Amino acid sequence: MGCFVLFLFLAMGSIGLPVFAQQNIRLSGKVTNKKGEALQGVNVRVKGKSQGTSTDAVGKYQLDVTASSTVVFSQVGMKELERAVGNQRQLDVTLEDSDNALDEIVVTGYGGVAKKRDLTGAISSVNAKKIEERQPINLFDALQGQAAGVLIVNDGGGAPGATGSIQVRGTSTLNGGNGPLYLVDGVINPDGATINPTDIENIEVLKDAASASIYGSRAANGVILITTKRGSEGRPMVNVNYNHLFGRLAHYIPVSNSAEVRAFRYIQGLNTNTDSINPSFNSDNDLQRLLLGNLAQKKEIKVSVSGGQKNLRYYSSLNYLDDKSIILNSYAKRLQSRINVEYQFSSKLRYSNNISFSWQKGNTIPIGNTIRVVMDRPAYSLIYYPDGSLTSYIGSKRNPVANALFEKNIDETYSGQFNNQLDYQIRDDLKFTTLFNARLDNLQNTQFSPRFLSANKDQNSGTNEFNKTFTWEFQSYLNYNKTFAQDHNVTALLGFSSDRRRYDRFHSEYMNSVNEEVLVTFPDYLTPSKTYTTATANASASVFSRIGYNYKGRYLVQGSYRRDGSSRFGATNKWGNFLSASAAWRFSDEDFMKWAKPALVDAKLRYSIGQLGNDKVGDYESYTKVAFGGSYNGVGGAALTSTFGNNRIKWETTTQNNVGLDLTFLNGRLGFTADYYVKTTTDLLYPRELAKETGYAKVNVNLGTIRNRGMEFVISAKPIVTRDFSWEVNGNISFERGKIVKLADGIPFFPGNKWYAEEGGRIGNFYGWRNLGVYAWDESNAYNDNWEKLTLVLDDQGKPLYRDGKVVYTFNGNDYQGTVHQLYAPDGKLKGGDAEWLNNKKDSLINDEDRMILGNATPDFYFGFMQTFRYKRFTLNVLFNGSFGGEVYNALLQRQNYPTNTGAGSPDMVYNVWRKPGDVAKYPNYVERNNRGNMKTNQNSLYIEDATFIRLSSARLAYTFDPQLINRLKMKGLTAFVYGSNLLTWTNYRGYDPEFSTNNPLTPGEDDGRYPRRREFGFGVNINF
Amino acid sequence: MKTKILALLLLSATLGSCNKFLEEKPLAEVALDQHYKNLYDVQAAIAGMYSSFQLEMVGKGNYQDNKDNYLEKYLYWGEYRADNFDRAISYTKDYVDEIVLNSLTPTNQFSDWSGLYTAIGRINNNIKYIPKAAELDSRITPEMLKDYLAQCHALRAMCYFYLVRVWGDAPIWLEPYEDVQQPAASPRESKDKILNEVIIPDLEKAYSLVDKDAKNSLWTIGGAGICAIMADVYMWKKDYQNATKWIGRLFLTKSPTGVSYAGANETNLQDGASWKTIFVNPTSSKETIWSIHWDYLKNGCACMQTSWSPNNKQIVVDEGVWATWFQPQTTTSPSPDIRPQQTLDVYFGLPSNKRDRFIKWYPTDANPIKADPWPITNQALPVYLTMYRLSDMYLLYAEALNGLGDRTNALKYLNFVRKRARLPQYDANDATIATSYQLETAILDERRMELFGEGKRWFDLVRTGRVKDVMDPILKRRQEEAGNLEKPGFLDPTNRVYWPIHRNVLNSNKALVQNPGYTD
Repeated sequence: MGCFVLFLFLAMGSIGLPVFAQQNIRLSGKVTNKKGEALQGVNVRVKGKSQGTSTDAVGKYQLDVTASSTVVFSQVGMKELERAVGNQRQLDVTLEDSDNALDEIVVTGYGGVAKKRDLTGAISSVNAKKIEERQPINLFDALQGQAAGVLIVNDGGGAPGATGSIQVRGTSTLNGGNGPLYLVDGVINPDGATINPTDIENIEVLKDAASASIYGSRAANGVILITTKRGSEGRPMVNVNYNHLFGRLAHYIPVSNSAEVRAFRYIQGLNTNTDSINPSFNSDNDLQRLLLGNLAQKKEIKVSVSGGQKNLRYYSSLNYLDDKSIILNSYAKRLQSRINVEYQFSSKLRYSNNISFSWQKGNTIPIGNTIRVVMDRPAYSLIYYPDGSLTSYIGSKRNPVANALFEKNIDETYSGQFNNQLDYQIRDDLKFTTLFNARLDNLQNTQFSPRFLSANKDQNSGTNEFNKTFTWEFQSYLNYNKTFAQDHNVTALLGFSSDRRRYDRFHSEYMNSVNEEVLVTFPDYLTPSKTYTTATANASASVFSRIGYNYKGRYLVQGSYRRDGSSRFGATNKWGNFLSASAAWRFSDEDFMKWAKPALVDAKLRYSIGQLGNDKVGDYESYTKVAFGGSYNGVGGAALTSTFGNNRIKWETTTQNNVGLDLTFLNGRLGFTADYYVKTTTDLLYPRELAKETGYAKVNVNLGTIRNRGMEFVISAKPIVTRDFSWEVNGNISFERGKIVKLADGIPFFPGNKWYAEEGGRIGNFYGWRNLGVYAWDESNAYNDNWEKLTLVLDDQGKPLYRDGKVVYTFNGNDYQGTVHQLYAPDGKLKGGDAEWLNNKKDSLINDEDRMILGNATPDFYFGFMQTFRYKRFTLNVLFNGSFGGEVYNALLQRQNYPTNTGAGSPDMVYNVWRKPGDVAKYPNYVERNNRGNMKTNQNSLYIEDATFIRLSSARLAYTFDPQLINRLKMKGLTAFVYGSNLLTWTNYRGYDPEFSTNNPLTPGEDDGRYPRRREFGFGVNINF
Repeated sequence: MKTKILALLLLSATLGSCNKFLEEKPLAEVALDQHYKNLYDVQAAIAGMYSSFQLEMVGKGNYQDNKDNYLEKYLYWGEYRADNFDRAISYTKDYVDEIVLNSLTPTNQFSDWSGLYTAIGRINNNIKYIPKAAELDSRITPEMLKDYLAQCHALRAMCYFYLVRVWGDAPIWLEPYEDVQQPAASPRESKDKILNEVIIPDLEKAYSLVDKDAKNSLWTIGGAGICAIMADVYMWKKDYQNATKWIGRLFLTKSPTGVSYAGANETNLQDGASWKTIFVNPTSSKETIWSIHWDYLKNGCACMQTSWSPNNKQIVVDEGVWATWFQPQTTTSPSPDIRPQQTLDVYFGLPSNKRDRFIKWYPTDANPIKADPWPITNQALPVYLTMYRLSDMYLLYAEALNGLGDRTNALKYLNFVRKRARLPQYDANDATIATSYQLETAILDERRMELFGEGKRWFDLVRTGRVKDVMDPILKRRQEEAGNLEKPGFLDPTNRVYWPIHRNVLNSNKALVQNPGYTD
């Protein structure tokens, strides 16, 4: 309970503080723009205080002030304006448009805000305006290509309701927890997927340690702060947005037609006679088109209402998405709603609520039973009988159309979150905030496979699963902000937080239930060995503080200290301390830079260093545990788990150094930001391999180091700004290099069947044998003493030339007379039609010692490039993004090439396989694929492909109607637009798409069949009332 | 500022008590110090120990999820390298190719000994903590404690016996690993040391603890099981004197049905007419000694390559033994041997029988038709693997007696098994068994047929030093079928009768040295 004593102290301490009595004046007025139009939602507050109000629909405001105070008017996209009150009671102002992004307000965490101009760390910020221009469906859409150093892999174009992944500045940890920390309105959110992007006012990505360290624990992979929209005083503002998208499979890959399957049978050595009478084997279906070639339709309607009266402001929204994707019967429906209410009890006390609720239901298409089967079922197998009914298994291959239609895998998620926040302005310069957030996530999964789909149409099976996650979070903090003698500004923060999360799962399975319409688990059909419940929980507590000093906005320093406790560590190691410091120097304000002033408006140099913690291991890894399972002879077993408990594990620490430069030229029309960072993770927390003879497989330890270095550049320019036409460019590019510096005892490990993690290597390295083609002749397997390949000389018949009974070779163009060496596999000598491998070890045997690093999935650099053109009432926004230097293991092609006997094979195999001596081929002799290591499944460089791509990822053309015209229709604004996404992709990758997300950061870049991406076109309207 | 200082002071004062809030106990498991408190914990710990051994032998079967299928180390170690089985070329994977072509590499998943050490770790824990639990709970009587410990020592001996037979030298762990600062890497000890200082003492200890008059428990290791393992161990050492001594002790114990194993004649074996009882209902057989329990409802589908599975198998019966032993059963003049038709479904799918319908474990009678007689519920039938049974002991006894020069008695025990199988008995003057070596060959052939698919054949070949002789022609045939330019047969038999040590195992313990003949 000590934790809560602390909270009480913070609360009572604040109330006990002196409150200055002040003479209040009721100030009112109107805010307009240069054209004289009223501005709604302008933030009006007293300087140095956070209390304030905003203008209503006709631009009016009212505010209690004192005569000595200064009032600040601010709005995104407008220049901030300050006015002294004096003895005025009425204060009307006109705000000017701002071209300068530096005036934007950036959220820095725990109630802290700063102007972008005054930042000392590396923060990427994306505001509502930029989000709107892309018509995003989810957060990943909204952020992609917009922020440097943030690698966003967006899966949203594929499966209905799919999301993506975000990685900030490279992989910095080995323990799986690699996603950033999401905070929505200051409270932890499990991920960004459930946020409706139109509710977002601002997104900040805290990239460097000094910015993120205020969130100390769990912030090692960056922090994404999301602020949702608030209402403003005045008449309700209603915003309605509707859009409708049509999509088609973006890219077809080669699959075999009937003739190619028959050719493949011949290659397989199964040249059985074609059965020309049986209709089951005489179709020619294009399964790819049948299953993936459907028209997708995505409909979305979003409604929001915001407004307020004196002391009460609200924003509420409702968003409904109905997404039917390209695969038969794959769909997602989603409802999201949010209510943000603020109630101002007095000038000092404010109570606010954020309530959000979301529901999503979708049919997940099991890739194994559909996409892979599309590649696997021969084109000649019948799909529909003449009477229109579906066929089932033919030649032991399932019918993917039947599977898509009849198999159910339905995910239904309910999420609700309720935040209560109390803000109390103790003094002008001191504010106390306390909040309590509760959140419940509920995922229900229903799977069912009916009898029709089983091999003999006589067995069905199903699964019911129920997952519940309950999280609560409590925070309490004091914010101090004071300006002394005009030029010295001090900010400080002191706070406490704690949270707990508990996860429960209920899982049951059944088989052969009577009725196929009822999908619940009945005791009579239960599969007891697979029915269980489980649970896990963790808790954390923290104290944190931050202090900043700013002299004239020219010299800025900031420091923070955070102490975090986690339930995941043993009693002696629960707590970790995390420090950070940062400084910035606005050298453009110095006298010696005056000469540059007309062009260089603003120039700032930043440096920061900070530490961040990570506790993402299993919840109970400090215990050596006994688990219950493994029944023997009617008695349930209990035995030690395979991971040894280590009560010495402690926080993993990431230290990051960041140097940054911000330059603003030409009155804000050209901005440039550069950052260089070195991010070093020490005390790496991961399950290292333990000597297996102990009886355990692994133990979690804090040993090892990973280092990431990177550079990021952001440029924003407005080359043309005229009355009728403007052109705006925003671009960013990020370079990353990561390295595993040290592992526990230097022991390398295999994170999966095709990756290798070793000291000095990179995360995501593919490991295996380097393919060098196929030996054309038995005689082609010939090497000199140094294991360099000899050139086989052919005679005039095109056959290997023999002289005196010996094969004739040349080396470097000269006759070779030395000993001819040959390569062996463990089971025999390599011969014509066998695959040729790089002899890395330089001995006569190609075995596991010849394996090497074959490539890496992480891109060397990636970029985003957005252009906005405005002509009169038209706006065109175009976004390109791209990624260079990454590689993908095309496991789907490998699967296609080597199916089981009755599989379809691939055209690539049919046209590039070795068939007879002398063939120059890509693939070895098919009938001998299992001999002499010809396949090297999962570790064959043949399937590693360049994942470089450039994509025209979205384009949107909008027309905003004339307000005067619209007013007659009782509307305030009307925008209509057409847009498209995933329009064009330039890549050499032969699979569906080189861009896809991976759950485990240690095993990236494996394409083993995924829901393919669609190309979309659509239209929409946006109406304001 | 004062408030701030005060706040910091209070902060540090209250943080200490936050530790309680940060204490989370596992919700789905328990910490080790909360276990071994009473009889129930001990029963579960014993079940957990057998379960780890069971999973090594049978594999973690799950036919709905292909990746967990076909992991039966019982046969990968005990039989698939020998002449009984071959790969099914259409479905085979790299690791099976390596096994049947004697081209094993350290990446072969079955060269990983971790599972055996998992079992050993559990056993070490049991040996340490069960006596402590007995002090806390009086329901654990001294007799029960002795029996539990006997089982622990016997099963540990069995695990080490597998290590010695499959890899040779291996590290010795007889105490649980309990402190992360304790060195975990330990070097391999010689196989002789393991045999003499671990396995035999463990079995002697087990034998001294076990109730020798009790009816054999069958699913767990009882007195008869201990004697059987000990005999097998002494056979491995070629110590025929001790082997016969322990088989003699085994004859004095009682079978699961309560009668003495006796070992006097063929009637002590399961009757030929109900041979299948040994496998499908072993508790009612007087022949069974130790079988692995498997309960479909609790353990799932056994899903071995020699059990029911809807998926294509990578391993089938070798064409050599198919031609000499199984296929003739479908001819007009089949041999009188009762076993082949009850071992493999010889009729199914004729003329191109896929040689993959292994029916030894199932209560079906021999299938006389080509059609598929299998009910879909076959997956829901238990598969009880026999670790030891009396005819195995008879044949070992014969082998030992032959080794000791007692030809008459050796032949007697060989003929008991043949008589039960309805085969003609060998005549003492039969020219084909004139020499001691020839008689041993006859015994081994009988073992091959009697114990087909019971994980014995490879170890028989290694024990009697016949790997090269037996496997050379078979390897040459397979090499020819694989299109190899050279057909060298079974290469490097001295080294390669052992498996390599798996790469991950080597990586995790720097003190290990790879077996010769394999890449380090």
